[in-house]
Amino acid sequence: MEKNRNRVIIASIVIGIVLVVNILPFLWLVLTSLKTRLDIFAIPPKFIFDPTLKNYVSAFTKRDFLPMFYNSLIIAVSSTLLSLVVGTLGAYSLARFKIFGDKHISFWILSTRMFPPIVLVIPFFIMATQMGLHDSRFLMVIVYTTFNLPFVVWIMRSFFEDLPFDLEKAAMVDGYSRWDAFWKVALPLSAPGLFTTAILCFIFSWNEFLFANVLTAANAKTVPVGIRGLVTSRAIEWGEIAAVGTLQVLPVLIFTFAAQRYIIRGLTLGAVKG
Amino acid sequence: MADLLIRNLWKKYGKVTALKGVNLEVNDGELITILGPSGAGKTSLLQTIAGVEKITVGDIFIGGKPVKDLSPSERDVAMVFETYALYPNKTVFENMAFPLKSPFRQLRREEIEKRVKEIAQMLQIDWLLDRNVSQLSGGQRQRVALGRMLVRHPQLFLMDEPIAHLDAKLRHNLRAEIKNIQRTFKTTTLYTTHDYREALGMGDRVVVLNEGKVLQVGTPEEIYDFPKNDFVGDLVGDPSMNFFPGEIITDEGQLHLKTPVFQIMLDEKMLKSLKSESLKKVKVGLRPSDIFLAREKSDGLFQAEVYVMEPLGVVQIVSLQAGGEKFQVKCSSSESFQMGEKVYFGFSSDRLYLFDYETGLNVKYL
Repeated sequence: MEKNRNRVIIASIVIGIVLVVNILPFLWLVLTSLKTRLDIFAIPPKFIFDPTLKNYVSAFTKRDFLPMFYNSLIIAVSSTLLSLVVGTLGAYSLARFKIFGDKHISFWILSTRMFPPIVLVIPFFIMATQMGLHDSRFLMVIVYTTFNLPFVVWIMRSFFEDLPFDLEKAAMVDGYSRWDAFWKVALPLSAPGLFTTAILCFIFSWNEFLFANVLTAANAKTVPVGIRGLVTSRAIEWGEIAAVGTLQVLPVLIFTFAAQRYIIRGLTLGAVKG
Repeated sequence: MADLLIRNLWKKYGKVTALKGVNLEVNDGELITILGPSGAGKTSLLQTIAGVEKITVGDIFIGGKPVKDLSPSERDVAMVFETYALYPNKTVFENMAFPLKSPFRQLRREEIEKRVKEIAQMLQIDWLLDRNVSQLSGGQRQRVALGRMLVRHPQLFLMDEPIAHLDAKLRHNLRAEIKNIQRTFKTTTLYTTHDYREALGMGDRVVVLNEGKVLQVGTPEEIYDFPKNDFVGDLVGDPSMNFFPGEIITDEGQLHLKTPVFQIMLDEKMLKSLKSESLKKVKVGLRPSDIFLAREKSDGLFQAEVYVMEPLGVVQIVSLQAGGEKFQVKCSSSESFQMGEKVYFGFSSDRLYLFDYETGLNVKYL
């Protein structure tokens, strides 16, 4: 008993520390977004104050954040969908068909994630300007897809490899085509994996700053770039930064909570057994 | 329903050759069991017939029609996989209805429901129809897999070790049930197994397969009584056949068969079967159930020492040792022996199997 109680106490302390480390910054962000400029800089920090929505209002009236949210959404959703469609098909092929050098192909796909992304910024910038794609949503979708694809291929490949091939063979014997066996049997069974990768792809595209900062100017500007713009030569608009930041986190948070069940199944790979 | 013809079938996976020139003719309505150890190529054979694996070389005809270039769905065969391959995200009903909903059939809803219920009742799984397959026991899953095969009226049934992973008692019941089902449907069936009891007990004919080659095709009696080579003899029977190295020698003008354990004179019948006169070295096979034991010495009996005993209820397995060889005897439990006891054993000489020492072929087939 004594031993058990000690364990519970230690576990609670550890979990408490992790929670403080993880949640406190977020709480700080939300609180800051609701404070006036005066309250933000108050020392000691205020936890009880008169909340105001002033920061939110000015972010959308004084600053132009609505089109940026729109850009971010279009780019993140399109890139996620594109990566999933192309990546899942690629992953399935690598998992199921023996082709010459398939191991090398898989490794090469992964190797595109091995160098720091900043290495690619200049080449992308030059290519984009020469093709006249600079500052377009289309460009950002393509750029994010190149980063998401290897990720999708690797996660989905291991998912498909864990699915017994007999299931698809059974479907084919049952009168379905090769495509139907994939579409009606293999794909529904890997739904947890699809959810997980979709969320991770979305988060990456939604939060990405470096490439968006270099490759967009006005038309395709995304929210992270816009937030950076709030650090001006005259002042740092902490209140608005916090307000936009809160809104930026919100969709991901809601989506993750809603799909939590699938994500947990997705993260424990190979949960689907016949 | 159709007959099946396989001509010189080869299957290669990269460097591994699973099937090496299989020839087989199956009559309409026949139940063929394919017996072989794991890795013999049984699954490859069924899957190439079903079309889910490509043929490397050779031809397959179902109902006289070449199917080499047909997709699995066009071949119209139904298969039970060793892993059952039930769709884990579907209910029992959905699993069984899946083949009927395929673009190849697309039956009306009422027709699908009728057929699934009919088969489910027959297999006594109608009370499980709304369950998810992940909630089922092994035996129930096996029934669902059978049901998914039976709802169609295909040209062929292919069953890949369908009951290998069930416990012994259940296996025995299902053996009879599957045989009965096949008789009712009269559908040509190929059934693979590594258990000789299943193979002999169920099949109209048995195909013995090893390392991708057909070793023997025959009725269960033929397989048991006239094994084509020592491998088939060894595969069929429990405990398996005893083998002794043997020599044909001439003693006082008579031909004798000499082994480290016994020496007998070759009678006319055996001489006849020894077509090749030059044969000097042979492998002698003797089934444990063909040996009898005695405590008293008498003519035609040979001495041995009891090494170990395994009582199994009505019968017992007695391991004997003589002349540096160990061998087993299956006899009634009425008499019990002590370890180390001297006993005498005998056998009827027509129960001896002689195999060529080099090739392992039964001399009767030489």
